[in-house]
Amino acid sequence: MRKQVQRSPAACQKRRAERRSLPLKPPSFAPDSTPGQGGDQEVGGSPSARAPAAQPRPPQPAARPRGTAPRGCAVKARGGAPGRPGIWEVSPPLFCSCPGSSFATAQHGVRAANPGVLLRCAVPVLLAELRGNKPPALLPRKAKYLTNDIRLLGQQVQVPINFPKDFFSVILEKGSLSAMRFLTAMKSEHPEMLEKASRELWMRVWSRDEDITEPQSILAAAEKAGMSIEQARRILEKTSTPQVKNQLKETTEAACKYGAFGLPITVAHVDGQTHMLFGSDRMELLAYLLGEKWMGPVPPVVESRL
Amino acid sequence: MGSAPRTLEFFYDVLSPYSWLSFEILCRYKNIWNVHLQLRPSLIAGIMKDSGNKPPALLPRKAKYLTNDIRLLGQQVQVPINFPKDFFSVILEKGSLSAMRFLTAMKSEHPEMLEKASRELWMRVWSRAAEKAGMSIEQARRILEKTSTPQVKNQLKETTEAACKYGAFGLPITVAHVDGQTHMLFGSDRMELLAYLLGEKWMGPVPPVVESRL
Repeated sequence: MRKQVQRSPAACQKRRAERRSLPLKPPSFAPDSTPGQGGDQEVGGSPSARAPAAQPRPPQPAARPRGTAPRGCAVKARGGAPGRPGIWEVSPPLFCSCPGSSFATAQHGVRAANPGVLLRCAVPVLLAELRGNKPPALLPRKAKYLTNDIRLLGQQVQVPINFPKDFFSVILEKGSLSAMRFLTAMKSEHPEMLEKASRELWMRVWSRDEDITEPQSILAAAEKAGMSIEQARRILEKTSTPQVKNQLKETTEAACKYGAFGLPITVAHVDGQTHMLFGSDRMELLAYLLGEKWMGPVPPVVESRL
Repeated sequence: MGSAPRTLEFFYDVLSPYSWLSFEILCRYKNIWNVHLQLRPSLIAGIMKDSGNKPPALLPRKAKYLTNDIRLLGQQVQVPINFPKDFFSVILEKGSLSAMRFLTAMKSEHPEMLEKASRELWMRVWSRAAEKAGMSIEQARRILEKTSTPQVKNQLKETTEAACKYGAFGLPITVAHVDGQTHMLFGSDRMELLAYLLGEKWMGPVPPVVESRL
């Protein structure tokens, strides 16, 4: 199903220039060592090297200034041409309390800063109510499985994820409403900071077992993401406005319209078709649908030689 | 390499389309990785009952998602999988007891044929070739009447209980014994993680085959 594309030397040069503008390193997690991690994220993984064969990639959409996300309506209306990758509506930050989402983020991390990836915030609590589904952890055997699954995937995907001590209280009682409203406000005020702010909230709740419900907690995450205290406070104020509340509700409803029964979901618009993929374990299938190469959850970064 | 092959216990039910995807991937890799693949026919209905879980298809939105998911994965994994039109009414009602007892009997009588027999049953239930989803189950039932013994019934029960002991709440599960540790992995979407745990190379769900020149 992959389309082989012949690219002119000029096009190759353009691609190299584009690649140089990519971040050189994958997003780094907190420099201070996290409890139980020993500060060492290097995992003795598969000794066999992954050497991806050079494959021509389909032409990329026209470059957009970094840091600006396309408006929701424009993205939805955009269909792809054959051989042209569509726009991703990426929903990794949707459920801050959901560990699965953070994997999707990590994997999209490099590209999320690039044009064509739209991060949307939603609230899974509302989702659950509307879908008739229940969190998997409510089934004892699934809860036991999940803890192991998350631990192993964290190692494989190289995300410093740790189950909070009182997992049920965090997920089912405390929830993520304030945090997700905050990210929703962040998205309209400072979209270029949405990725970092999302990551910092995950680091709090899913790596260091810290609170994300109190205003101070959210401000701390925002500051760690690089915001000034004034900026963060301003955004925090907006979280209780009707606009922000409605926006979060609308985004959650949009996820439901796509057929979501949980999070994360990734909605890919490719060649005039729309595919909703559920879970962090559909990334290789996503690559297949996009006609892109899957290089595992930790792809090699392009080294820039200047 | 010289080290002993790692045992992979694969628990499956032909009623489960994801089991078929997992099965094909593992059959492709069993001659590439340093593993010993043990096929263990089980009963998904028994696992659901024991764990208190419910088939995902019972939630309408999941049912809708599943049909698409299976279709796309079938393309990606190159398995000719199709949802039978009467899946819910026929398969969920009739179940797979006969088929899985048949495979259990096959495993003790002709273990070298277990892989092919399993595939044939999946092909008949899940591939477009089957006119009626229930047809293959009927055929299996007839064959089973000749081979059905208390031993076969018990063996299937024991295998299903073994899966439950490993913590299964559904199928497929792959139990990998690596470096003195036991990992139970649920679903057809944990194959890359399995490779990682085995220290083997993941080459996607359709790895290139090694051509043998004699």
